[in-house]
Parts: sequence; structure tokens; C-alpha cells
Amino acid sequence: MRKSTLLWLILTVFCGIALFHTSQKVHDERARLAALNASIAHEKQSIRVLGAEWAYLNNPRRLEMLAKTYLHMAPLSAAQFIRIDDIPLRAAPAAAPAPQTEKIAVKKISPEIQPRKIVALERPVTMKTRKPAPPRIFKKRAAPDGGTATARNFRDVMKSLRLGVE
Amino acid sequence: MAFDIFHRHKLTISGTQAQALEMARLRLIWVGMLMMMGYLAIILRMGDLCLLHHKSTAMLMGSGAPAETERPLRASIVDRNGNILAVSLRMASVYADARMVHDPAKLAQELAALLPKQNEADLFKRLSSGKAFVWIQRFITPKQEYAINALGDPAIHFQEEQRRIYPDANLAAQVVGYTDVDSNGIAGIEKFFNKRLAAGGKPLRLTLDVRVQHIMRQDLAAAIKTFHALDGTGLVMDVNTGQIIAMVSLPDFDPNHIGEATNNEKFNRATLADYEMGSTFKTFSIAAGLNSGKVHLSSVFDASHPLHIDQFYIHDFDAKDRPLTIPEIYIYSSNIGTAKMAESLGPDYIRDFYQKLGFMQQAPIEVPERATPLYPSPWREVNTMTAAFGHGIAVSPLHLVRAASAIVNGGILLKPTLVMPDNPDVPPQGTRVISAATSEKMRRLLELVVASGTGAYAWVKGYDVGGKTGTADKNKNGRYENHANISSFLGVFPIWHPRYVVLALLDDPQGTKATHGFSTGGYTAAPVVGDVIARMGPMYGIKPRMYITRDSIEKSMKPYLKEYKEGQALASVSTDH
Repeated sequence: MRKSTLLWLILTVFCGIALFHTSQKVHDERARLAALNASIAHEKQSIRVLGAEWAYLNNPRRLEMLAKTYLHMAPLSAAQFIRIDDIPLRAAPAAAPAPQTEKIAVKKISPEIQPRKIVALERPVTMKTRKPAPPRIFKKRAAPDGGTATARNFRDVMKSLRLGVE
Repeated sequence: MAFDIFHRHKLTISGTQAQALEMARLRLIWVGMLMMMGYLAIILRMGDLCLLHHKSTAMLMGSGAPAETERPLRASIVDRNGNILAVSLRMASVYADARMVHDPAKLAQELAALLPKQNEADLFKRLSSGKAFVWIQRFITPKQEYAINALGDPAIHFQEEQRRIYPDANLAAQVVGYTDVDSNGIAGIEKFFNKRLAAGGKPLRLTLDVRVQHIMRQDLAAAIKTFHALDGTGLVMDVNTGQIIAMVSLPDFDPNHIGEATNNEKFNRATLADYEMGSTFKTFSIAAGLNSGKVHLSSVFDASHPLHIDQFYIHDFDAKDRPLTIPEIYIYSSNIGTAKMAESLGPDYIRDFYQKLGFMQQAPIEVPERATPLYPSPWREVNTMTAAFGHGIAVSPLHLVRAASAIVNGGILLKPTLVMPDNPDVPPQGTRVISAATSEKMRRLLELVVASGTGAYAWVKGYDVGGKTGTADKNKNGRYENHANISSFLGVFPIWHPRYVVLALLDDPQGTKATHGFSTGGYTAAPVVGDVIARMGPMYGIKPRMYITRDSIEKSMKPYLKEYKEGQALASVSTDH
């Protein structure tokens, strides 16, 4: 046997092993791909089901009923829009720290807001000429589970919603 | 070594033998080169496939790709904000090969226990029929599928099918339409776009807004209940694009249970019903007059005496018995004045104008349920006069809002649409029907009707609604009934720069104590439009103008109003007809 023959033989065996390895890998990957595609199809179907359920739960009639029951909110009315010019600006804090004016300022303005010196959007608005119409207020209703729901924070609302579904 | 015949130096062959050997050698070289080229081609192709064409190789693999042999799921239908109106889901259906059933009685009993919709005797009949294929139940829940599968009966098989679900149930039932059990669209959008939807793919986006649709449906239903009306319809249309924001027809049905719906409920009144609209048509005849150049706001027509043509009498319901200007004719809704004005335009002017507004053919819309208008043919002089105040011509509510949009949007008649355009930046194409100046005048007239005329109940502080009431006597078998009305209100807001036309129409409403027994459009339909606008305006972020008052509007029209007195309304709601 010549040296070259041996070399070829080794090379052939090596190629054979590499080819077998590759083909096995392809086989495995193909199975994985099929599994992934199946799970994608499954997820897509789940998304459709969840989308339908989401639409069902967000039915405007149901949302309106829930909002009336649990939230202290009402639809916006045109009277609640005001122009920025109609908002009275807060009186500028007195420049000189005279003790008398200081007292008045502290009385009227809450301490957290005062140092920022921004337009007092938080302060209740008083319009000069006309009174804004009071927003529609809905009566609180009993929660579907029988309790008297006075849920005020978001987490409570979510909790009671979960009870209300189905 | 003797075998090495090609080793030249060891051989001393010459002459013909040498020539033959040389030829053989050449031939071998040729064959070798051909083989080399073949291998080279294979190597190059492999390099090409592996290194340059990854995607095509992936496709060649094939087997790992998702199976596409099944019918694709029908595409969803969503509203303008992406809320789902219709969606298809895969559900299992169960059937049996009745030839394979050994004990039909036992199997029927077991199945009836699992499927509450099925009747045991009926199941037994089907299972003992001996047919190769009998449905047991279509669309079962995954739980039921699991339980039936666990019975292990070899005669039972499952088939995956798709089912259409309408999460909002009644909300836009007639517009969206419905499908049969095999998911073929048979009404509404489902039918019109059946091919596109059946092919699957992207959801079909409609112009409807479920929020506005809900508001309109709720308010209309409340009005129908309050006034004991037979039915009603409501429309909201974007005047600048022709998009339909809401389309309601009551009574309606739940498309998830289509078998329980009656024909009366399936009937889409907004597009398929023809109504004699009554006074709302004065909007179009007066617009025709103002646009002709022959009639001006200050033109006066004598409404002191009822008109008598052929066998017809035309009279006013709240007769002023004096000459009236155009704004007075409009806000007092004078039939005599309108008829005389129409007559002054010439015999065919009104007919041609109505033709231009689309009142003589079907309105283009993406549902198959479209009404063909009814109009007199031949068109005689009396027809001009009655059509001017909305009698003797019947159109669908969609026709009405489409034409009204053209009157207020600056004069362009647009194609109404239910489907969102692919490119919203492209301005919609339309045809001019009146001049911008006429449109401006019409807006002032519409504004005046709500500020101080018959449309007072549609007044929304801040949104400056314009509109026209309509109360037509119902035509039954060719005779007008005095006590049955079609009452409607056509509203536009905000009138200073119109964005939406809102229509509410009630069939045969009955007056109540609160309306002093009146069932006219001003009392019954106008509050519906007012409430829809009051709730829709802030939702769409339309900035109100709180400084506009009724009196300021009246004052601006003072030169044309004889009875104008500061701080006093001009007409009462009840006088509308």
C-alpha cells in the first residue's frame, strides 16, 4: 500500500462521517422546523381567538356598562373644553418676602406646586362669565357579584372585572 | 512494470503502432476533460446553491413548510380603528360513517349526553341510516371534541372547519352582513367582498367607527322606544371624504344566530329602503334655486294662499299667510313658498338638479342591498312642485346624506364608501353640483333652522349644529295617511366648517306628553341627532365654539327675517312639516 492510498482512504472515511453528520443535522432541523411551524400556526389560531375575545370584551355596550358601574367618569361634554386664554394665571408670588403676603400665598397654593412656578392647571378653573355645565354623573350601581363596589383604584377595578367576566 | 504501456521511454514502438497509441492517448485525454467539466459544473452549481441562493434552497426543502392545502381562514372585517367586527376561527365538526356503526342506540345515547343541542331519537335515526356520511354536529367546542374522541368509536370522524364569529353581535349587523354555514358571504359587506375575504389575508378595514355606531344605535333605539315607532335608521357620514362613520338600521339581529333573524330585522333601511323624505328635500330645491342665480336669499314668494294644481292642493301646516323670503320659507318650512320657487326655475330645472345629486339612480356603496329611487315618469309640472318639498320622489337615507354632504362641503358630490381607502392622502374625486358660494348660503340657512326654527332640539351648545327637519305623511298603497309619518332630521356639524352629516329617521313615531302629542321630525328625530353630536364631537376632538349663541345667528340673518325680535325664537318646533 502506498502512502497516498492511505491518505485517500482516511479522507474518504472523514467525508463519509461529515456527510452523515450533516444529513442527521438536516433531518433534526427539519423536524424542528415542522414543530415550529406547527406551533406558529397554533399561536396564530390562539391570537385569532384572543382577538375575537378582546373584541367581545371591548364591545362598546359592555364598556359603557362597566364604566358606569365602576368608574367615576362620564362622557366628555363640549362645555368641558376651554381655551388656554380662559385659564386664569396664578398670581405671581410676591417678589419681596414680606411676611403678610407670604402667609396669603401659602394659604392659597399647595406647597408642592409652589416652587415650580408653572401655570396652575391643577387649580379648579373659574370662568369669568359663564359657569361650565356640570358633567353628567352616573349613579353608582351594585357590582354584578352583589357587593357594593366602590373600587377607586385601578387594581381593584381589574380584580372586580375578572369576577364579572363570564 | 510491463503494464505501464504509456511510459514512452521504456517502449520502442514506431510506425503505425505508435500512431495508434498516440490516438488512444488523445481520446483518453478528451474523455477525461469531458468528465472534469461535468464535475466542475456540479461543483459550481453546489457552490451557487449553498452560498448564493439560500432562499431557493429553503424552498426546495419543502417538507418543513406549513401545510397550505386547507382553505385559508376567511379574512377578518375590522372597523376604522381596527376593532374586530367579524373573524373566522377553526372549529371541529363531527360526522359519522353510519355503515360502520355497530350499536346506534348506545352511540346515540352517549353522543346526546355530550352534545346538549342534539336530540337522542334524532341522532339514532341518523346513525342507523346506513349512509356513508351523516353530520352529527357542526362546530363543537374543544372539550366536546376531546370527550367524543374518548368514546373511541371507529365510525366517528372529525373535520376541521372555519366558523364566522361576530363579537359585536347586533352592532352593525346589516352592514357587515353574514355568511352561510360554509362561510360564503350572503349579505352586506360579507357578500360584496366575498372573493376578497374568502382568499384570506389582511383584514378588510371599514370606515365605520364602533363607538359612533354604538352611540347612534343606542340613541335611535331609545327614540324608537319612547315614540313607539315601527323602526328607524341612522347614518353618520364624513362630508369631506364620503366615508360612512355609522350606519344603523333598527330592528336588527345577532348575526351569530342568523337562523333566528326575521326578514324585517335583516332589512338594511339605510341603503335599501326608499322613503318620501318630506321637508328635508327643501334643502336641495332651495340650493337649486340659489345656485341657478335666479333666486336670492332676499327673493320673496307669496305664501298667502294654498296652491291648486290639477287635483292637488298644496298648503302649509303653519301658514304665515304672507309673502316670505327664502330664509323664512326654509325655517317655517313653507310648502307653498318652496313650490312657487321651484316653479319659477322652469319645468326641468329641479328634475335635472336632482339627477345631478344622484336621486335618479342607485347610490354607489359597497353592499349589495341598494335601493333604486322612485320618481315620477313622465315628470310633469306638478311633480316639480311636490318634489321641491320632498313628496312624489322616494330615495334611500344614503341618497339623502350623500346629497346633503355635497350641499354643505362646498358643493362636491362624493361617492359614499364603507371601506377605508388604501391611501388616505389621496383626496376623493367628486363632481361639482353647486358653487362654493351657494354652499356657504345653505350652511347659514341650515344653521338658522336649528338656532331658531324647527330643529331647535338638535341644538348642541358649542357645536353649532345646522340641520333640517322632515315630516312626511306615510304613503300606503298610493294614499297618504294623515296620522302616520316618516319623521327625520338631517344634521350637519360643525356648521362653520362641516365635517359630518348625521341623519336620524323614524317610521311612524307616536307623539307623547312631552312632545304635546306631536310626532314631527323636530320633536322625535332632532334630539337623537343632537345627542349623537354632543357625544361624538368631544370624542373626535372637535373644538367647540362656546361663544356662538342662537341670537347671534338670528341677528346675522336679520335682513331676511320679518318677525325677528331680539331674544325671541322665531318658530316653534311643532310647526314643522
